Amino acid sequence: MCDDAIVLCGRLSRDLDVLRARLGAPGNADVLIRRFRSGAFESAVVAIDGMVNVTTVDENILKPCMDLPASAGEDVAEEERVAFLMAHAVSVLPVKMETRVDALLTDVLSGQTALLCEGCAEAAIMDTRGFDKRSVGRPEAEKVVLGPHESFTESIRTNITLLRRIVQREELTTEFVQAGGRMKTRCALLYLRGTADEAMISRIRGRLERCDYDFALTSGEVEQLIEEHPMALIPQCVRTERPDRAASFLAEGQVVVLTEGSPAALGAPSTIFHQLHTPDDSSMRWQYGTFLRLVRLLGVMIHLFLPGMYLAVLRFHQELLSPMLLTSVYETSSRVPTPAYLEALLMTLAFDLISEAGLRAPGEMGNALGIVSGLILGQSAVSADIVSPLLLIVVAASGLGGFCVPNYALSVGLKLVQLILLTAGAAGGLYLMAIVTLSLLCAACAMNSIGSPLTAPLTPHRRHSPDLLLRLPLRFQKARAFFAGHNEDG
Amino acid sequence: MPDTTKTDDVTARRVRASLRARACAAATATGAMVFAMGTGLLLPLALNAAWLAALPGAALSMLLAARAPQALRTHAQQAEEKRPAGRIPAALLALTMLFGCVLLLAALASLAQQSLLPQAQTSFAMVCSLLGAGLCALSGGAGVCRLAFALRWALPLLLLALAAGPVSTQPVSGLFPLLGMGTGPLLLGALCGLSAAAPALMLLLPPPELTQEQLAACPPPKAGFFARRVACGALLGTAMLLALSLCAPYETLRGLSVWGARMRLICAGAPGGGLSRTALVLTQTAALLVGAGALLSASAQALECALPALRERHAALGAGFALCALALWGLACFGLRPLFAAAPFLIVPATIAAMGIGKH
Repeated sequence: MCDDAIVLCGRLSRDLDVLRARLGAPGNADVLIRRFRSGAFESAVVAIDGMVNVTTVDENILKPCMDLPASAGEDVAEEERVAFLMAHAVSVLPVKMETRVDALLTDVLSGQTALLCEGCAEAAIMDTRGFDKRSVGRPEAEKVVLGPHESFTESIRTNITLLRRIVQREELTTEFVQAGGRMKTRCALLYLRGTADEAMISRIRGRLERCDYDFALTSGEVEQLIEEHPMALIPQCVRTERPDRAASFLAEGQVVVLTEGSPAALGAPSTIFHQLHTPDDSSMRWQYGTFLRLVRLLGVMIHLFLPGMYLAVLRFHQELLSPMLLTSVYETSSRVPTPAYLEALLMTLAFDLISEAGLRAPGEMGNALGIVSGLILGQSAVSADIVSPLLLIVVAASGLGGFCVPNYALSVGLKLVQLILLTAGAAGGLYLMAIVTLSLLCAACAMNSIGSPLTAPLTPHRRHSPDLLLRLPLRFQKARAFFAGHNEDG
Repeated sequence: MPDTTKTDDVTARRVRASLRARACAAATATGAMVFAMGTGLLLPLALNAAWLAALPGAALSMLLAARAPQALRTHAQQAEEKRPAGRIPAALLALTMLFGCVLLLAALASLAQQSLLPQAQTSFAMVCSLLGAGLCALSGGAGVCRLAFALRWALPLLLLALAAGPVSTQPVSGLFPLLGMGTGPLLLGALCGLSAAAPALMLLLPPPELTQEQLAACPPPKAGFFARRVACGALLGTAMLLALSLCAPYETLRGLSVWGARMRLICAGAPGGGLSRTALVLTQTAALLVGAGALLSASAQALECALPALRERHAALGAGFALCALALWGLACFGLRPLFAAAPFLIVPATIAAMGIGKH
């Protein structure tokens, strides 16, 4: 039926009318619809101005079609006309055929060109994307000392190319999925066929396809669409802006999700250890990598527990401090007008404030802002007896520990845990801190990432290489990650 | 096409990992129970022979754990034949687990009040421990079992290392008189101490995160798989009682009437001052809380079997939590005497439940 807006009817005028109506043309200035004669029948191309490479459309589609002799295609069946043009005139790759109007529009809106012919109820969709994009730059949030310095860009095609350049294997497969409700976002699922678990791939694909959230624009939103525990403080997918790291995810059997317009890749499923590892750990010799991991772990511990322990010791467990230190602490604390908990809470929040302001301030101002605020505010606060100097040291050390966390999303989650532990330490000393810590650990142990335990392979036990807390030499790392499929040894 | 043999192999490995985590949780709960009952019930009876009185309980826990594979087989068969599990044994099991949980939480609160929070009221410590156990169990049992598995080396090693410090400075004469108050109290203590084996019964229930298909795909492990882990936990609890006997002479033990004070006796002589003492108490706290959380989640699972109406999301856990809260409130109001009076009889419902659940 021609009136049916779901599929093309084959009458060029009617089909173009439907497309015009859906795209709001001619009122919508970006819509390009060009009708032309191609041999013995009429054809048309539909594209969006600015999204397509006009030279490609002119030189490879319009010109060869219009140059066909008037008798060309006379003896071709009506329904074969698009295929005839693709075979004899058009020189564009890649091409797919489409009969549904919705799918055709989604492709056109993503920068592809549709070719329709009179009498033919299907259109050829050609990749003629040619919009401006940022060139490949250096990673901002995942800097490394050794190793490559490339990062993903906002173009999904460029990102796939970056990955393919590293993973040159015939098993590397790319699937495109449209995520979101009204405004679809193009996502690419990349995995190594035979290495990634089929059930896991279909689970991720299904979650993306089923989501009815209107606007899933960034990889962060896509991550929230596929995660299993929305209330958890720990991210359940690992995010990276480095193609080399994403390639290592693929090699481990994870699925990499790229999102159009986001300069980051998501690795799923992931474990808590993925969030704490950096590419440097593997690039360096195993002794250095292990040492750095232990330093990082110490930093995380200091970040989480130090402020809470300071309050717990001050309020409940004074016997843990030497009498001299205790006297000094009480002497300085006695001059501070606010209760110790409030003082610690305000200082921790002030540190987060400085850190957030430094992050958002433009360019080099951010670094200067951090140093100036830290020095001036800290010094002035101590001089004015608003905070005790020991607390300042505690908060600064804890903040430094927080910067050791390589994953930004995890570091924000850990800040919240730090505040919970701070409150627990003030309310019930080390006892309540121990109870809260164990409860949070229990919750973390129960969490899954796309069906895989978040704390595995540590608990529950799974086969793994000696590359969790310690990184032993590469020659010992022979086991494939536990979430890899069963088609290969591992 | 995926190789089905390998798929089965992977499933079997994953089932065994779950069972191993469950065994570690049962071991932690049993060890904590042996220590809690030893300090609460056996020490006043047998004084420095409490560790001897705890040994039969440890042996019984091993025997109960050895029944677990048979129970798992029965579960798989019942599911296959769509036969409902016995409700009365399940209800008895739930009550046993709940009682164990209450006992561990009361021990935890008493220990905390005597060591870490001397100025706080016991009820505050009880509320904190109850909320902690509730949060641990909220993760559905899998979380607490996995945590117990993650801590399977850290907890025992820390306990032994921290207890070794004070013990090394004490003379062996602390063990004497070897039979404590005499043969009669020792035998009575041994009889009462049998109830400490009750937490091992949680192994009679299959891990909740596993489906029946997964359980059926993996042959049940041998009896020693569970028994040796639970025995290690129970022996660790006994070793802590032995350390306690070594640290405190007969006269000191006789004069101590507060439960928490008895539990922290090992810490009293710890070298390194407050730091190692606090570390030891915190390690004991962790063991008691993990044990209580494991028992609470197991009781919720048993309640679901006994009362299918509670299968709604977290309803069984809510009911278990409410019963625990009620019991702890009663203990806060009326003292610990009823708890100690009832504890020796825990073995009765436990035995009936074990016989009912493991029976084909």
